[in-house]
Amino acid sequence: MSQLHTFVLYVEDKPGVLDRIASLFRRRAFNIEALSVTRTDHTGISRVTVEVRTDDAGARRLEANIYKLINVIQVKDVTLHSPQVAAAK
Amino acid sequence: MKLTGAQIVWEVLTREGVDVVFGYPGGAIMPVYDAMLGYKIHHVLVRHEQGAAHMADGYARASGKVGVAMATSGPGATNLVTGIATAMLDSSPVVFITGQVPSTVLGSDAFQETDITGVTLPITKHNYLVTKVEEIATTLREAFFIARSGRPGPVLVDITKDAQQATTDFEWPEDAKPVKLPGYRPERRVLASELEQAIELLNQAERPLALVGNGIVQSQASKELLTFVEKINLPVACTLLGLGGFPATHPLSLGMMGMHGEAWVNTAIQEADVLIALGMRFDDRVTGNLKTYAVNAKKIHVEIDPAEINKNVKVEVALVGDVKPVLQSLIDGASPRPRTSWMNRITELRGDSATRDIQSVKSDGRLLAAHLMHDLWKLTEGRALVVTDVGQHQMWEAQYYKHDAPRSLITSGGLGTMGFALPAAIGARFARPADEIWVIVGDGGFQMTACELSTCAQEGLKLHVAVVNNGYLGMVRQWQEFFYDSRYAATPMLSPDFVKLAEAHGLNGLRVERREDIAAAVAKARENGGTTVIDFRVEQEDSVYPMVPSGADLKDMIRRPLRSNGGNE
Repeated sequence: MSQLHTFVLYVEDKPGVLDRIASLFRRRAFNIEALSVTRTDHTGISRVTVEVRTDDAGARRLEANIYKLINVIQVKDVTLHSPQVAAAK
Repeated sequence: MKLTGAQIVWEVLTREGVDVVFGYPGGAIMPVYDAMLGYKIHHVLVRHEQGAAHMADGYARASGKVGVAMATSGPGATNLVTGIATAMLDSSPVVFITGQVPSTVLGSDAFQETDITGVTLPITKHNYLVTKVEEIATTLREAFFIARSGRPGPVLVDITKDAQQATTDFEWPEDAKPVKLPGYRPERRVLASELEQAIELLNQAERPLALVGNGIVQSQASKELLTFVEKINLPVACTLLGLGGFPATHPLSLGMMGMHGEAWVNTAIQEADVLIALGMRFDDRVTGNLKTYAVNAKKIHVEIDPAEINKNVKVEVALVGDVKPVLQSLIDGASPRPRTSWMNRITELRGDSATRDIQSVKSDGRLLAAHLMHDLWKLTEGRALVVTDVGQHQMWEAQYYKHDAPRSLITSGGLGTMGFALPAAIGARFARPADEIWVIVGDGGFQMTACELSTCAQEGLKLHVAVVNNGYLGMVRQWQEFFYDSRYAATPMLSPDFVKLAEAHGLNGLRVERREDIAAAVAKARENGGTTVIDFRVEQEDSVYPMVPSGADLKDMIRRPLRSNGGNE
């Protein structure tokens, strides 16, 4: 089932890293719905948050491919899954 | 020690064990070329940078070491692109070094400026733009590490001209620690619980099958594979790039799977109850229609790249790691079983296909490409290193040349790059100076990079080039015959006289038009000094069978017509 997935990435703060991430989403045929890049407390490390609408299989595939980018130190799919949201209410 | 950036390039290459570089000079890389004269590394001048890329790739595939190609900025760099993408799709470890315009004019559309790191971003494992001389050594070292570790792949290092010209202190720590990158952890270990699940599935299997891919070759795990399948009686099917990873003449070998796999191989896959995929990625040319692919089988996927797991085919057990140690653990855990009825079933499937085998077709004065492949296999006793191009000849070779040793077949699988064979073979020659090397190439693909014959001549290389000449772009013609009502749009092809073409390069040329003349031509090629091009005039409108049409179910293959058995269509 397709839903909005949120990925949080910790990446090396180097020229071109955002391009590598955006290019990955494009060439694997995913559309970015929201994107933010911020500094972190750690010098040289930025945080990137990306939102993409896809199903669980697509999200797993994306996460695995983002992980492969050499400049990405950590990636996590932090999506709140609908059943959990329902249970919390 | 104060060195220029250009010298540092060669210092690092020397320390990485590089003995040959394939390249083409130009403005933005001239400092590196000038510095080259002070070093022992051999440089091969190619005729087009695409050739350099394929040569470095061929060298890597033949040796298991990292290949190196070099080019200038702009057109030099963009000419590498097809070769980089080829290396990427087949996970070949190649380091590409390109010159770039000086950092002071970067981004100004300077003469011969191309954003080559931008261009190659999606077709490299990683790439770098280096603008400071101090960063050349560490960057190149990282590039070699990334190229050869984990799932191997191409890495491009683009170095601005001013960084090549500047000087800095160069020190190479003799006890250099392994490269550590914060976001790159290629080594992976399989969990014991996952191993247990895999072993349990294998132990319970009645009709198991191993699917062997390029990973077995890359990981040098052929010995472990042999021990494993012999221990538990596991039949083996190979992908195109897996051929040679398991001996084709072994009783447990079924041959190649997929679009042009023999009928018994694909039928066995569809009937299997457990599939263990070893270093392969369920490419669409292997699976056909995913909805009907091996639906009866539970699947175990041993694969070093986690992004390949559940990409095309959903699997029950994923063992993410280097296939060699994983196989070692599986050998220890899995129990032997005879599986007689499954073995009998496979023998029965083979028998049915054998009745349609092209080897039983009479040639009647014609030269059939499949016969040529069979005869080349016999005449070379299966021991040649064969480098194929892309198309019909590639599939016939895969079907009829039985490869028993890893790295005895080099071919462009994933990208399907026409023009790959000749330059890749030139690269392979430098990795394997003593082996007999056969280039098998179609008349179309040969003409895409035939300029590299000149490189063969200049380097004094001995290669045997078999041009499988049918006067058509044969595989496209076959698709037109099958799926486009035989409307031959742009597939009939006029070629130059290949014998004269060879002679114009100072090489040897021969022509063969009948099967009976193959042996004499092979003997002559072996006798000749230097490269020999043999123009094999094969049957013009022949097709590769069986064939699973693109996206079709594996069972819906187009079989070889029985009528051709008489040899008098």
